[in-house]
Amino acid sequence: MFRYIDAARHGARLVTITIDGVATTVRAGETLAAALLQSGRPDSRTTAVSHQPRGPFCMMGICFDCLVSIDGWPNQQACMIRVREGMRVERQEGCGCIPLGTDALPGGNDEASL
Amino acid sequence: MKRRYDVVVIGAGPAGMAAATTCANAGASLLLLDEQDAPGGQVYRSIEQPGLVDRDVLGPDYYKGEELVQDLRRSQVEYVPSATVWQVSPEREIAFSVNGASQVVSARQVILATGAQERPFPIQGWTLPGVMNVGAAQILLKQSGMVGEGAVFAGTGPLLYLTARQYIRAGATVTAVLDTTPISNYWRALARGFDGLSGWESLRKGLQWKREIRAAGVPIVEGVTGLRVRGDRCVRGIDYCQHGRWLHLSTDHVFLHQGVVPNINLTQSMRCAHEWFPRQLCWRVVTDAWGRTSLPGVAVAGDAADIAGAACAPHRGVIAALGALQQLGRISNQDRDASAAPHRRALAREERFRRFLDQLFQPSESFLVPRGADVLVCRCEEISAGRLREVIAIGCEGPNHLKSYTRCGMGPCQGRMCGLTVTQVLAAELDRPPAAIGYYRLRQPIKPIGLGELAALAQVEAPAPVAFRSKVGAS
Amino acid sequence: MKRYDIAVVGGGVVGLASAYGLVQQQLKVALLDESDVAFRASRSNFGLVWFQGKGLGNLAYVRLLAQSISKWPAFASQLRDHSGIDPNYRRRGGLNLCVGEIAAQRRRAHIEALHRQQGDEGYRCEFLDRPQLERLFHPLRLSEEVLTASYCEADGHVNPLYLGLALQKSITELGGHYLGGYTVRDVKPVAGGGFELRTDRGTVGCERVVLAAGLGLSELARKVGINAPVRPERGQIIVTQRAQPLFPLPMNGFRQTEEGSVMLGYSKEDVGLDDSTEVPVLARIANNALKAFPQLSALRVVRTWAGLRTQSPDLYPIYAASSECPGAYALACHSGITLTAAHACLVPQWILSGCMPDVMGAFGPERFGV
Repeated sequence: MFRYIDAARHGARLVTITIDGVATTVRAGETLAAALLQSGRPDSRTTAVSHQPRGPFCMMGICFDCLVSIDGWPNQQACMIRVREGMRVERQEGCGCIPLGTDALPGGNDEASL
Repeated sequence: MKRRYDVVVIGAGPAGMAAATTCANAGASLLLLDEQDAPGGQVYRSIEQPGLVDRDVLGPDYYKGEELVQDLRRSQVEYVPSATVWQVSPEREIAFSVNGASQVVSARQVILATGAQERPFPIQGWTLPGVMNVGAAQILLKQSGMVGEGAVFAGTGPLLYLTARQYIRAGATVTAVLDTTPISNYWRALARGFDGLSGWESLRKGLQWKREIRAAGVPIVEGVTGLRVRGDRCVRGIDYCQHGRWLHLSTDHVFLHQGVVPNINLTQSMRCAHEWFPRQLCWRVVTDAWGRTSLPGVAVAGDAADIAGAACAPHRGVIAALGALQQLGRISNQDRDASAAPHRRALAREERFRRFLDQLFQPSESFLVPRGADVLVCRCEEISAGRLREVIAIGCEGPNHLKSYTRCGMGPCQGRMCGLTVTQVLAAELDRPPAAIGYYRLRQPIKPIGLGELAALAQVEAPAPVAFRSKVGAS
Repeated sequence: MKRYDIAVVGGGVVGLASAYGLVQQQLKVALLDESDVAFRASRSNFGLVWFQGKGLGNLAYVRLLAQSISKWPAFASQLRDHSGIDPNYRRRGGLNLCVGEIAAQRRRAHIEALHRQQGDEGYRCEFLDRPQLERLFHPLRLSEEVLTASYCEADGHVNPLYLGLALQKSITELGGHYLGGYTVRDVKPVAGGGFELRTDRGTVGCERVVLAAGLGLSELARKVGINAPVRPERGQIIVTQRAQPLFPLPMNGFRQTEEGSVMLGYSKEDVGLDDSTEVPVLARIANNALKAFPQLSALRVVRTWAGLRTQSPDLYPIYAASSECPGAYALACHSGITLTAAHACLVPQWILSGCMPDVMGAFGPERFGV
């Protein structure tokens, strides 16, 4: 478990983000990776090839293991981003899915193939 | 119209800050770009807003960064944080991304102070959540004031002991330190008389750190020859081998370290000449006494050149800056040489320590070339050492051939986590020296960028791509 | 000195396919390849196995392509059996998107001319209208400017890197020899028959030599009296991080691999032996991609590639047998992936019978003059 030590800087206000739908209070100004770790989640994603769990490894933006989806946008490095009030974080399962929206098919949903 | 600067410095660690301040104070137009959102690089990470109020935890060396940052802030440096540089062209056009939007500037002189990274440490289970680099543990401590309770520190090198000591002073429980420094390294050092005073001094400091760690009740296991991290979905423990026997420790956190190596992706993408540096077992860019690379107008400073540590970095930054200023015609050769002299003397003093440390903490081959077939070498694409050896046996002449046949090195980290291991694996399988193996062919972007932001560089009248603001405000 | 019945010079897909075909004829075959750092168009190409749109004005080329494509499924299956590696050949048809009215008109005219030229031969294209394309790509949105696309059921794609691996493995499994790092510097005919190849790792002897050395071909071919003029043409490609399945079919300039990464291309540049990538060209490729599919802007570019195509003066293949030095052959082309199946089948026929198959006959170097 990661915890804040007694000598940690105090006075930081709190913000609320959602992690996989669960509202979580974290210290303002924290990197998202640190916030995830401190909230008891060592993993941020599963891999695309064999669905193995991964979590922050280098904390400096070069390992690309701390990838999460933020507000629907995939492949964001959690260690390079600070938390923001209302941020919607989802752990990334396999490859990130780019948002395509749910536009209805023009002329109905008849998905006739060739 | 592209903005043009006399000097662009990439990296706001100690070398970059010193280089930028020196150039700006000499009146050169200067742009300092750094990927982090605050200055300090990794060694002085979060120095302006430390995560700790108690200065004894990290020790006095960390706070040496304060002066460098204050000098930077006082100077006329145009400093852009959160700027991910993804290209430097041979004509010195620098493309960087801020908040999901890219721009290109041009420079008469470029100083790369992009620092170092930790050497890959491929062992069984190193990809499990809960395993991190020691540097990552240190960043969490410096920036957030956070520790992982009951951690096991494993590996070799001063940073391993330094961080364990910082953890203890922070009040964290540490389960153990597993030292993989080959015992033979000590014998060899002894045979060389510990390289004189500098060696004895380093040794004394190291022994003091070890005493402090043991006094806190943390066992130090020396001569560890094998490591295996255990766990299913996250770390549960670690096996270690000492004197031929395997033992086990339960833990949620494993912090690994076996030295630091230069981060060469940018210089490789620029096709600067590189060479294999046997003493540090890494690739490094070829530089002259002023940090100049084989590309005109491009110099490297600090640990991006080869590893000399935080104490040397500002001196190397100043020297590279002086070299650039002379090239710009802002100072004469004599002034340049005179100003550089005290910095060169400081570097010479540190060089002896560095040589000693490099040789004492050189990792053993068993931790450079994973023996186990299912140890992952390429974390991004999940390629095992066994798979690599299988394909090498079919006929692979080097890392690029191997990359195309296995996907090893094709992930977003662009070979940072696997490149050195691949060099060593190929060297072992082909029975050639690492220098003859070579490295991945890298091109821009050296960090991933959005397709939309790349497209936006094509034309002004294109429809605005959907830009994701990934670094919205701090608090 | 190592000695072989046949030495194939060049470890790209043309050399690999030739050696693969030859090694199945109970001959002692060696494939001589350069070292790790080499231009290698075979490692930096798009992976399309493509028929549509090619060969206007050259019916012989259309026939060659058609023959290769008809052989591809059996070839891929046999390759899988020999190597245990699946090169992921998928043929469900391919599209050429037309962005804008002018592009649509041009494409229609081009395809019509091709249909007139080929008559009943080869494969035909049909044009899909906007509603059909929308249904095909849903939920990926097409921009308003995508009006139509030509579709050909013969088109497909393959993983060109796994193709290379599968060929190389098969060659060794079937008793052939892969000699890596044996960059050939000189080819000398030996009195009484055969050749000596001087390489960076020593001299290699062979009865017959097949030169498939890509951009290095002209120089080597000259040594055996063959005129094989080739020049480099650069193509740049963008590769993104993996994403969910986005494209139902491969397209001219857009392809999603089995792994999920999206490849976007490409350029055609005359820059000599320069295989670097450049932002202005990459930005244009990215911009063109977004002109068709604006939602792709969320993809992240993880790397870019440049490859140097081996181009003959008229952009068609070169197949030549030396009259001066019987037993020496030269091959070059830029559509090496599409022609892989043809090469694997036809090159052995050609070499062993001493008679060039008809379908290759139009591509001799005499068409370039002296």
